[in-house]
Parts: sequence; C-alpha cells; structure tokens
Amino acid sequence: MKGESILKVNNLKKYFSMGKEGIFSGKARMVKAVDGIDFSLYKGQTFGLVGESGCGKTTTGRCILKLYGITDGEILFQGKNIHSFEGKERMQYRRAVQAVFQDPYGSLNPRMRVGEFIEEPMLVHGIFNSSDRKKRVEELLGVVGLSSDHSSRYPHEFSGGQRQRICIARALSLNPKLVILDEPVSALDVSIRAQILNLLMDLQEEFGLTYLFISHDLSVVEHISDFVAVMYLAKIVEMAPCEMIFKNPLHPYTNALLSAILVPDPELVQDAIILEGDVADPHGLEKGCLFRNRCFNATDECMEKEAELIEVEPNHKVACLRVA
Amino acid sequence: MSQNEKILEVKNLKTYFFTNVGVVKAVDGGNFHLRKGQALGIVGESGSGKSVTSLSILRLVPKPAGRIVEGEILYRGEDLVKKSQKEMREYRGNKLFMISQDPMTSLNPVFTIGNQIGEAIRRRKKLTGHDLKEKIVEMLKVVHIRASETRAHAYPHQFSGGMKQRSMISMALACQPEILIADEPTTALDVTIQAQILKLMVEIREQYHTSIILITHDLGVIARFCDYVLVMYAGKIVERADVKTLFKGNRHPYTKGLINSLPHLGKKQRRLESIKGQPPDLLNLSGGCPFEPRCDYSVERCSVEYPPVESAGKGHLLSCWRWREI
Repeated sequence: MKGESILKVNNLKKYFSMGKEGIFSGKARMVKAVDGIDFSLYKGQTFGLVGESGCGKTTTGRCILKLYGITDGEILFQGKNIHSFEGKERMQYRRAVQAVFQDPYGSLNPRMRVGEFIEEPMLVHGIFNSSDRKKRVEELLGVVGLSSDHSSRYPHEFSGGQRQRICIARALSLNPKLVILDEPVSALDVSIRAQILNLLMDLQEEFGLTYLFISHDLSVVEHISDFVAVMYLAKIVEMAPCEMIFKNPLHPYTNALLSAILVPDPELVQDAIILEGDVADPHGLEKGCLFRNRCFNATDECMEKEAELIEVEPNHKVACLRVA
Repeated sequence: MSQNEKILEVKNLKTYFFTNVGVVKAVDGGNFHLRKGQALGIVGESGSGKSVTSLSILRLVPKPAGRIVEGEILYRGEDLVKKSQKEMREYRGNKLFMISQDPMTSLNPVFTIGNQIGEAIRRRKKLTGHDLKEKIVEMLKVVHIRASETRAHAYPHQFSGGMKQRSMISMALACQPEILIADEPTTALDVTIQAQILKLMVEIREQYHTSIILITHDLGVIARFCDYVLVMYAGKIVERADVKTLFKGNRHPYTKGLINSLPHLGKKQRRLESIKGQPPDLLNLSGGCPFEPRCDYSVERCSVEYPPVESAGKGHLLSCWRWREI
C-alpha cells in the first residue's frame, strides 16, 4: 500500500471570515471550511476525497494548490512546508503541482487557441525554446488523444469531453508530480466520462503521477482510487484503503452515502438508509458530533463529545463514538 | 377509467430549431405513450432531445427559433399541438406539471415560498385567509419540511437546493396533475438529498397514482424509479423497453455502450468500456444512423439509411440495422 510519501497534510485548517458577529462585537464570524484534517499522498497513487457540497473537499484542494492561504496547520511537499517556499522553490512547487477542474467550459480562455493554451505554462516557467514548445504541444495533444491539427482551433469548436482533454494536456505540460483533479468528470456525459477516466488512469501509469481525486460520486471514486477519505462538514469522518471503505464502511455517514448510490440494476432491491434533513449549518453545533442531527445511530453521548479520528483496524480510521 | 389507459400519446413529434447556422433537429420523429400511473424514463446525453421532448409536451419550446413542425401530442385524445397558448395555460399546472433541474429558476425570488404554494393551491380550490395558510403548512409538511409554519414565510434563497426541490413537489401535489414531468430533478442535488427526493416521488406516485415522465442521464435513477424507458440519441428514440429488458436484454449498441461504461460498485475493473468518439454535431447529421461513427457494429448501410423501428419482443422497440446479430 504505502510507498514514498509525496505530500503530507498536517492538521490543516482553513477558515473564511464572514464579517463581524455584531456591530459592537470585535469577534469575527468564521466559517470553518476545513477544520483540522490530516492525510498523506503517496507517489503514483490516487487519493479520493469524497463528500457532499460544502464539506470542504474543494477548499482542501485549493489549499494544496496554494490558491488559498491557510489558517493553521501545515502542508509538506516532499518533507518541506509549502508556505516556506520562496522564489525558485516556489516556482518549482507550482510546476510540480497542477490541477484539472470540473468545468471545462469555464477553465478555457475562449480567445486563446488550444495550442497557445497548452503552451502558456511552459512560457510562464520559461522552459524550452519556441520550436521545442510547439513540438511539446503536439506531443501532448497526442498523449490525450487529440490530433496535432487541433492546436490552431478555438475552445468553442470542441465538445465537453475534448475540452477536458485539453485541460489535462495543459496540466501535464510541465511534467507535474501531483495533479489535483477537482470533479474532473462530473460535468461530462456518461459515455464520455468512461473515456476520460480511462485516459487519467493510463496517464498515471505512463508518467507515474500522483492524483488527489475530489468527487461527490462514490462509484467513480471507487473505480479510480487507492485510498479514500470521506469528509463531512470540514472534517474527515472516515479514511481507509479503497476496498476496505467499500466492503466495510464503519461511519454511519459513509454507510448512508454508500446506500444512496443507485445501482443501475432494476432487479436489485436496495435498502437505502435515507438521511433526514440537509447538511447542518455548523453554527450552533459547537459541541459534540457534527453529524448527530442526521445520524440514525446517535445517542446522548454524541451531543456532548466529539469523536476523534481513531484507527480501528490497520489503515482504517473512523471518527465515531459508536464505532470505537 | 381503466388502469392502463393511455393518457398521453406522442405521435411522430418533430421539434426543430431554426438557427442562423442551420436547422437543428432536436426531436426528430418521437413516438411513445404514457399510461395512467406509469413512470416513463427518458435517458440520453446532453443534446439528445430529452428536454426538448418535455418542453414540446408543455408547448414551451423556446421561440422564435424552436417550433413543432410535425406530429401530434394527444392528451386524453386531445391534440395539444393544436391548442392556443391561452388554452394551454389550463393544462399547465392542472394537468401537466413540470419540475425542472434547477428549482431556483422555477421559483420567483421576490415571493415567499408560502405565497407561491398558495398560488398553486388556489388554482384548484377557492381558499382564502386562514384556511389557505393552513393548507400551505400542510403541503409543506407532506414534503417533510420541518418547522413549516415559519418556513412558509421564507424566500427561495433561504432554502437549500433540496428544500427548493421539495417546495416544487409540494406545488405539484397542490395542483394534483395527471402527468408530472421531472426534468433531471435530482441532478443538481447531493446524493443523500437525491435519495430523499426520489423517495418522495415514489410516495406521490403510489398515493395519487400520478403518471411521471422522468428525464435523466443517470441510469441508476432510471433503474430504481422507472417502469418503461426511452433511450434517445441525437433527437431520435433509438430503443424503447421496459426497465428490466433495457438493462438485461438491450439490443441497441448505444444502450449497450451506455450501460457498460458505468463503473460497477464492488467489482473493480482495470478499465471501463467506453463509447469511442464524440457526441454528434446536430447541425451536420448524415442521412444515416447518427450513432454510426461511434458504433462498433456499423456496416456500410448504416451511414446511408436510417434503420426502421422494429420490434424485438413485447413492448421492446428499437432502430438498428444489426440488432438481430447483437
């Protein structure tokens, strides 16, 4: 399972300020988007981060990309704190960590030719001369399954799946070590989704890439991931190797998520655990377990005490009082 | 009124969009029917014409580009295509009700939720004042919205996505339509909320015997919810079957490809089977089968001639030249 650790997240916290609590109050109202999470990414593996909207999974990705500053904790890239990087080291980090986002329509500049778009990162980082860059663009287009004459076209001439391929080509242009995939297939049609997932897995094998795969779709996460963490309201509630989490889910939230997956088989009778209510507003839930108001297993103890993430079997961590 | 009566029959529906760059045949010859209490699913990718089909039934095709150029939509024998917009207003809401993917666009942001549900209730019953208020609160309770007395005074932006969708359903219940058209009702929602909404729709169907047309791209939702399914590709219905046949005995290469391309829980496979190529460009369709460039089974004939609709068993219809060999 384990290999060389490439990125380590220690007690990462990211709070967003929502203004002051009252006119005369000096206390700022904070939204805890990510509240103390730990995990490690290992070389050549895929780490799946699952959760519903607003659970902090995208914020985590953005913190790693240094698109956000962090409130507390540290992110170590190959043993070094990424926030201590200056100058050359910072550029190197930016080169080593790339991202592919959900919406391929939004992430492409409509006025840029595809070739220019893929070439831009190399230009910024000043690698290769002009003719080498052109060669590299053609090579990258080939790698992601497009043809080299596509490079002179504009984004609007491409379908959603092709656009996502272009974004992947750009992410690969600097030979990254780690790629943050933030819902890369959610906006795509079903028949195209499988193509892109296959492409991502092929590229991982070919270039030894490490992925942080952020998604709300558990069946996709199961397919691509080696290790999975489930987030609920800014915290990781369960974390385990992929097979373990799907065969033996322990946290009630993971159970509910898994049972909410609709299996495309009309003959299968599923006993769905249907959670009541919406994801809670974390305000007013300062004490105790954040999931307790939707949990089918909650007791009085859950109102009082917050569960820690504890290792219940090797590599399998759960934050639930009723499990431990 | 018999149980199996056809309450909606669509015959050879053709809805085209006339744009500056050419004619887009969004729906090109749709034939299907809906029986009382049936849940009909329409699956397809973006641009396959599933939403335009539902908009055509409601006569809400965007003007002036879109037009129903041919065909009949028979609701209890009456052709909706021939109705004027004024007459259609009597059908919308009362007989046909649509729930859209994004409930924010269907709810008016400047009126309270209670106000908007009240409007739906008043369409059927002459209620005012206190009685109306009570009814509104009752409707919100039916769709499991907690603290419904205070929630009735909330505005749409104060509701979460799932609650907005539930308010839409409560409006549908107030109108008690015969046909509920749900266009991707759960696509914008989280999985746990999706489970709640689907459960609610099952309850409505059982309780009020409403016929439902469910449009989605999610085959999991189809498997759980629908009795009968239409698969659409580039404006054409390529396969029609009951839900079991569709998943176990499908014969059209596109349906097969769609089902095989899904990752299976518990069965970890190295690669997913994918459908090659890209979705079709609706402006440049050949005269043949639109799936031909992506199809593994295609022969010469496929690119020239569109296959006729053939029956492969009871209630199982499809259009493919080579279905017998598949």
